[in-house]
Amino acid sequence: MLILSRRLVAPILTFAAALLVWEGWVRIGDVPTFLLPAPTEIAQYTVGNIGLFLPHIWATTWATLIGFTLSVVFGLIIAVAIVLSKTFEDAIFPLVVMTQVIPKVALAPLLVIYLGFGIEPKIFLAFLISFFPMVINTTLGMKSVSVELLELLATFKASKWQIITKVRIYRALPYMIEGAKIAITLAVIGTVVAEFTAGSSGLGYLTAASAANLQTVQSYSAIVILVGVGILLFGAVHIGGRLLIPWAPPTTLESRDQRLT
Amino acid sequence: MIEYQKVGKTYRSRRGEIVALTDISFDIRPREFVTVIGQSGCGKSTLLKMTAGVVKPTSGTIKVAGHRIQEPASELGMVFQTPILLEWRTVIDNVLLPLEIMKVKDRASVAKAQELLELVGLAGFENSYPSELSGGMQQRVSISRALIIDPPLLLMDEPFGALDALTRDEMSAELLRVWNQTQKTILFVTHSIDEAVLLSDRVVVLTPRPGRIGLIVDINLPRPRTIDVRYDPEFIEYTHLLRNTILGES
Repeated sequence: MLILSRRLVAPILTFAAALLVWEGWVRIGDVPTFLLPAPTEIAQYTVGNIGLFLPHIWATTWATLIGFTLSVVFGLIIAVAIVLSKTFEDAIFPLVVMTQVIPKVALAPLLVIYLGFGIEPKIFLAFLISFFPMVINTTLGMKSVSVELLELLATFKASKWQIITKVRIYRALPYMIEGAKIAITLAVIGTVVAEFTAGSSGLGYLTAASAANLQTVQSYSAIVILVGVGILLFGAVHIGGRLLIPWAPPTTLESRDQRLT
Repeated sequence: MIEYQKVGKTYRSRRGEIVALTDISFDIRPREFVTVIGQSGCGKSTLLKMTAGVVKPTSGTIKVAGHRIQEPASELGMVFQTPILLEWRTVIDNVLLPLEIMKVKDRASVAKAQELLELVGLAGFENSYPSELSGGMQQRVSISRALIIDPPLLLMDEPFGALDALTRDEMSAELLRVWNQTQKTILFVTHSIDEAVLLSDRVVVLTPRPGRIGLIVDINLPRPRTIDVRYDPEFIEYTHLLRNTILGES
């Protein structure tokens, strides 16, 4: 407990110190608001105008969640297909890697042409940027079945499909959850990038539009909220993941961390 | 129960062919406890896997209950060195897995699984997860899982190899009791000479490179046996004989 609190206190203090320096610099240096608003000003603005932000928060979150969900489903489908067919794996894997090397930011303006200014380009980009860790992790998880277990299942005359539904999917779950933690943060980025160029709503759109109009405070507020949304979504995936695997002893990563400290 | 006729297995690797087993011929009678013993790499696990039908022999035939083994056989139970339980399933669901996959699970199955868990001394742990059990307890679960389809034949590949010495003794005694009550034929693989003599009716010694039968010894110690049979002079004689054969001395 002592270790835990020290671990929490240290970053909080560092963060507070950074804010303090920022605040002091703006006040003492008399920096104009449109250049760099003080943290207190940003906080005030955010709280005072929360009604303005709510629909944008919703727009970003919704698009992110849909893109993320598509990634999870897509990752699962690809992984199952890979386990079922080596040929499919050989055919699909280079393509999957290729989509990952495309600079997604460069793609955003093009998406307007095909998908317009609505929610579609956001979902697409959130999906495109976040499915990779899902495919990789789900596949790895599905494949982590020992030869002995497969031999044992063979003596039960288990079909390929039974091995997937009764063994591989469960084996893959912890891997999928770790992948989902990466995917959800990436999905937020994807949504925001789409909102910059192709959006007419959402926190990314608000950040860009406010900055363009020199409403710097609003732009900062939107970024702060965006960070909050990202953290909340990550937390939700983390907790949801825990609930999905009740059989796991207190999660490996955390207990290992504690042992090392 | 099992007939091995001139069974051989050759693996192909990049460095050429490796003869794992050659000219293995012997029979196992129903309800017999036969142990295959030998040094690492003598092909004893291969022999067991061929009996299960998960590995194909390159020459000769293996017959189980009169039928030639050509594909994974379902009329047997397998126990490996590691328990290989499914960590997301409770103990009882792990035991029920074979029935579920073979689609023969019915209302009586749960009661049967419970009975088996009782037999191996795990009553009360039905709803625990494998991660909550010790290594020995996990191995007991895997023995129950092997017994759930009530196979006439049990194949055990160094089942106690990963356990500490004390748990090993306990598990050997347990296995003798289970064997006594269930009347199974058991083919057991180990590299522990003590374990082989303690458990078996007959011990088949494999000598390595290539794996072939060095000696088959009848263990004529009275049954039922307990761990204490170890201090019997006859027991010690058997272990001497086996050790010398395995190490290739006369």
